[in-house]
Amino acid sequence: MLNRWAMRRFLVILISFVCPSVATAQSGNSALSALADPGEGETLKFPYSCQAQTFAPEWYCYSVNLQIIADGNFGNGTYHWGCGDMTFSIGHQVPAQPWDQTVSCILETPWGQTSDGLVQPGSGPNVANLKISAFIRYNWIGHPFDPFRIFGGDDRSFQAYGGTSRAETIYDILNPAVNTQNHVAPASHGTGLAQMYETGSSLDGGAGTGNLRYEAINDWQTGPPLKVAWEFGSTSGMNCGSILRHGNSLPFATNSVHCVAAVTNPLVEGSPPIDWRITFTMKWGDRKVEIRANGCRDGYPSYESYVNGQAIFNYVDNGSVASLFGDCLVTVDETKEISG
Amino acid sequence: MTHILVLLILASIVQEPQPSSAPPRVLSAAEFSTGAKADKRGTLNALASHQLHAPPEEVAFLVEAGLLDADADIRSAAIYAAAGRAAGARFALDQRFVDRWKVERPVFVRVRPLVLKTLADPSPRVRQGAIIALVNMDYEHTGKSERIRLANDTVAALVERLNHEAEVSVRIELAKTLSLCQPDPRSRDRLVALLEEPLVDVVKYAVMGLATNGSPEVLPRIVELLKHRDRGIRLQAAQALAKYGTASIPYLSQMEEALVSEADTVVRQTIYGSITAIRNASSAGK
Repeated sequence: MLNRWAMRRFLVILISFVCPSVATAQSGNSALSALADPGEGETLKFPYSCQAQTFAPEWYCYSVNLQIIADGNFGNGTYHWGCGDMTFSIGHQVPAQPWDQTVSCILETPWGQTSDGLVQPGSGPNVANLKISAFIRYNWIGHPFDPFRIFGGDDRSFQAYGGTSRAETIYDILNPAVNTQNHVAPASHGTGLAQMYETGSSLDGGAGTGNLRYEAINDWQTGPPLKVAWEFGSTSGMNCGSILRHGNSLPFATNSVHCVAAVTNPLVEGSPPIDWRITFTMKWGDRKVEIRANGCRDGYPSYESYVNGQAIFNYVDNGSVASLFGDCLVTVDETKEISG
Repeated sequence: MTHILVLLILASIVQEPQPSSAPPRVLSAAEFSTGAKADKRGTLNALASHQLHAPPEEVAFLVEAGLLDADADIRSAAIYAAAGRAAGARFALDQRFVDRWKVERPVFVRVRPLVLKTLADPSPRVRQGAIIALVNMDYEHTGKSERIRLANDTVAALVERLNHEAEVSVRIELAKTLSLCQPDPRSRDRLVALLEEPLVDVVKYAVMGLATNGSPEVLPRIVELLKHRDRGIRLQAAQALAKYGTASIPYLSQMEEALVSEADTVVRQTIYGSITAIRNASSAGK
């Protein structure tokens, strides 16, 4: 609570400006349901109240204007007319924004203006660009059971942007504190090109060593030598469920989404799926979004997840293709904060 | 001072963080039916990934008990345990796994009817796992790199399942299996029918399988698929045409048209590669 005293001539003005982090926040929050915008969900609004008192002789009649302004934009205001001492109050719900806002209470009287204000922290980024992917970090890996064949890998380390993956989900999730909609567009799912090579002709080191030769990578004639077959894996086993809004509790708004993947090698019969089944719970507010990734994955290959380019998890492969037969056997439980 | 130091050391011991949850306990066959869900899943996952070694009878019992569980998560773990045990000989490239499967396989024969029955499980994840398990259970370790020859009852069961299966991911797994395993007359007929499926991944595998089977009567349909909206189908159609060799010569002009209008880099390169391969085959008189 901020108190300001101002005295001009024989008048005394008291402004009491209540910010939502104090007890009034709860009552303000409960009022949200009545004030919620129509759409997919309720956004977050910060309730403010402002009280003012003026002191003057009984014979002195005058008018005053009390208003709440957020980020320079008029929010709510009332005019009062009377004589002598007066007390006024005003309330207003300020919608959350991804950026910090200056919220002010301004009292205008015939003898001048006085104000009080505070900074309402932004409610985190407007959108969380969520990426989940599984990739083979090697240049190539052996065919699971055929020594005369190898498969191309993604040949990379952990990276938020670019590079190929065996399976990848990208989902732009909107901040529920500031958006009635849940996402920018539906989640997109993709699989990398599975490429099978002839072992003997495709490696620059010979005898199963070295890297894939340029000629092999750029061979698009099916069958041996070099690249033998190629195809994209099916994305039918990949999806993200509906984004659930878990309501607002000032100064936070929370939502979650459950994403799953089960992607098999399209060129090998009876191959086990690369699995993940992870729920991402996002708590937005106070200039950041806190993300909890909770669920399971396989031990192979490497798994990574990012939000707005910042890592939620990076797991190096621990096992082989054979370990994929375990049914999503490694627990995922990570919590990270991403600043807005 | 000494007392304070002792107290500090004691406090640090007391405050040692404890693990939030214990890892799953490996259950014996006798304990399985009354075990906790996490322990059941943990046990079956350990079997699937060959981290748990038990006598073949016990392995088979645990898989059977898991497949009969009321919980779909347990049945899923059980079906992948069956797949994982069978696939050890195929995927692990380790003689110990081959030897282990040789011992387990005769015992696993009794689990097979249950795995076949699991093709009709209410859970799509379990049904998909059943297909993967059957493929790997039919694998014969000959030391040669060749496609898996499915047992007669497996082919019959998979073809039958295709008549009823509505779940996309399971349907795709069925098409993939019939396409990539050794050709069978029953699966060949089914693959021809699958060319007209609305599911793009199913059509893709039908094209792949028919090219391996060498069924030239479907060539006109495969050439048409070069214009399909799905790049995976176009990619596979182009590769299939190359596999047909000189039989595809009459379709070269259509392939060239497709090459001109193709926007996807990988598909364009593949069509170009296939045209080149067919011309090379033609000049070599193959």
